[in-house]
Amino acid sequence: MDGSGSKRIRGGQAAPVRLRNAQVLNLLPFLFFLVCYAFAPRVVNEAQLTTIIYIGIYVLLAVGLNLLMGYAGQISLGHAAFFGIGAYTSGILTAKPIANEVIPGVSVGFAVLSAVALFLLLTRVSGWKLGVGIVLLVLLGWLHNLSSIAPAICAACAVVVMGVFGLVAKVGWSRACVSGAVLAILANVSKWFLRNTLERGGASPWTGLLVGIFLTAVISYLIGSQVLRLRGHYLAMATLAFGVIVEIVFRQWTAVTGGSSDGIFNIPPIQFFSCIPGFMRRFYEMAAGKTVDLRTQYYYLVWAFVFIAIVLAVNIVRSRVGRAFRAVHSSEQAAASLGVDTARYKVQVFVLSACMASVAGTLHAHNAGIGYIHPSEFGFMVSVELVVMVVLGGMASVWGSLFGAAAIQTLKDTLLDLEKTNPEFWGLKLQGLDPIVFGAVLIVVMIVLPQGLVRGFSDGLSALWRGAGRIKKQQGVG
Amino acid sequence: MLVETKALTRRFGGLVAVDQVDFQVRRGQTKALIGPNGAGKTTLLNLVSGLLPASSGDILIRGRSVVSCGPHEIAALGLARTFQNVQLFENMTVKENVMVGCHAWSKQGIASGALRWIGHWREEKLIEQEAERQLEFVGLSDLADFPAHSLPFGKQRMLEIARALASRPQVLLLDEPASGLSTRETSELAELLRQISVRGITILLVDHDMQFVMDISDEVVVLDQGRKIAEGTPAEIQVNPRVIAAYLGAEAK
Repeated sequence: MDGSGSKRIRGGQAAPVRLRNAQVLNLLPFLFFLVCYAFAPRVVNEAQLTTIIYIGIYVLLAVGLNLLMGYAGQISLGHAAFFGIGAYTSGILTAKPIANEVIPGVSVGFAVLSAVALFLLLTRVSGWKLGVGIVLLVLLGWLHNLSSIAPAICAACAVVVMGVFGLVAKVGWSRACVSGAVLAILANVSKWFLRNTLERGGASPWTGLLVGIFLTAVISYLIGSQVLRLRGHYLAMATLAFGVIVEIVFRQWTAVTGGSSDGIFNIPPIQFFSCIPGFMRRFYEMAAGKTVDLRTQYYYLVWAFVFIAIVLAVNIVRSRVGRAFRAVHSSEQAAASLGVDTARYKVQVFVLSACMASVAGTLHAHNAGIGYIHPSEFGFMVSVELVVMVVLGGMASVWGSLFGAAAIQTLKDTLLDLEKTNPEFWGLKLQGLDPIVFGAVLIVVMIVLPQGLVRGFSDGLSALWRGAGRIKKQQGVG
Repeated sequence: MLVETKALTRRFGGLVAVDQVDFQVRRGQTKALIGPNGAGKTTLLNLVSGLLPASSGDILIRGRSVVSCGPHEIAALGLARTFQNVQLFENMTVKENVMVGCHAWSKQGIASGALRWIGHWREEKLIEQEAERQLEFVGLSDLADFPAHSLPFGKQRMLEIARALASRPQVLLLDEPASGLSTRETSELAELLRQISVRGITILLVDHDMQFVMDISDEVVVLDQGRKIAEGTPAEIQVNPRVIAAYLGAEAK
């Protein structure tokens, strides 16, 4: 055993990178990225720019999902749901404010969701205590919906009832009180906010972005804290079910989401340049080498988010919490025995990943010149596509996600172009090819490049390099 | 008492794996749990470290009842462990493995790491120093940047011990640390455990290798079919008729 082991070490000598060199090397991709980011609009045309914007949106999604899947080892087959929640929240708030008659219901629903999430977060209960807590919060929310009772009385009720429940169930009365208070506050604040939005005919996209992130954080926390106890296939199925449910909500909740026949249209683009200081605007204009139109502005905005996401992801991965994520991936038992609160970290990475998806969703909804969203863009197939992007780029490789997303998006565009020519072989019409091709790509990648594109190619190159070196040495000896 | 169990019981369906076991580990001692296969030694360790919930009975660590605590909470009380089938974080380097060990006493959260606050750098330096110190202690310094899975088995064991030590434990639980090791590696391990004990860390270990156990432990507890059948110094245990009977079968009586 000893002998074979030490042989393995010698064989692996080329693999590890010394830390000091690595720190300098690690900055290089970021520099390269920034240069490409600034000057890309000089070299690409309008259509390519649109594709690049889409790629950016998917990179955001893939980077977030990679933190969850590649690093923390938890699969999500419902990630498109969070993408959709971000898109719909922002789209609704900016383009199609919620109608007056739905406002009370929506705000109370929102408040109940948030209060339940807070109740869970503060008390960490489960079982019947959680069940009763949720039922109480829902009832208190329903109380808020009765127009005959003054808000102050409802709020007092909420605080007192939750406090008493907290005492009785021994889950900490003050914490339970807080969740009751938050229910009351949020119900009223969101009612006021939605009415205000309706009066003004829409909120700013930035507000939409923040509300979307908040809502996604609440929902992903609720889902994650329950579902992430499951593992492997079971987790995959649970997240899949969640994704499907959310898509159905998008399709059926016509009063709010516009349903599946209309979707939401005329979503205003984000005016990036009106939000940044003049010197940055001049810098961008210089880099682009022309007056910057709306599409190019949007490109700069999306990829600025991508850059931030990549920096954050790389930082997190190389930190105490990132190591905890990877430890959870590898052995939950060992991680827990070293003091890693595995349940907490799994939920944390799930919420983080969902919030990144939500940002991507908002950017998708406000896409310059398109401004249209439809439930089919957030369905199960999209979740699968995201998983393919992560696997293709390479699990546990932040930069890999960039290439994975770019490759899949390009492939999708190519297929679309191909389908436009109405190809036909032996009477078989080739339409709707994406799932087939993605399936094939996934199979081939898993077999040929299980480490993903980036690691696969770099390993291949270094193997070639070493091989070449060996041949040279042999020739020298000969 | 550092670790104490009271009438600790664990059932798996109809099987009683650990049956009403009382034992104590005093601060500073090295205590061994031995017993024939299936005696419930590993189950007992899993119960103490919180990986398995107890069916009944109580576990006290530093006087605090921990039966309802998760493993990470028990780790935070100063208990670290290794596993029978070494459980390294294979997707990380040797040093990163030990750095995860520092999790119990470090604090920086996700925002601090993501935004690289000052606290992150300060703590990261401490973590790295601690990891290097522990790697040096077990003699793996020169392999720090290798992937953990590339180490030979004996070194993986050492790495697991270094990782556990990095959590600055008061008591170290070792589940069959000598299994799968060569004679030379076993004696090195015994030497290492003595040094750990000198550092003031209490050790509770499970092993099959009698020579090794008798060599390093101050006290031995013998389990048979989930029950504690004997407890005492190695010399006492070696002549205890119940122990001999349990190991050699009833005929030996």
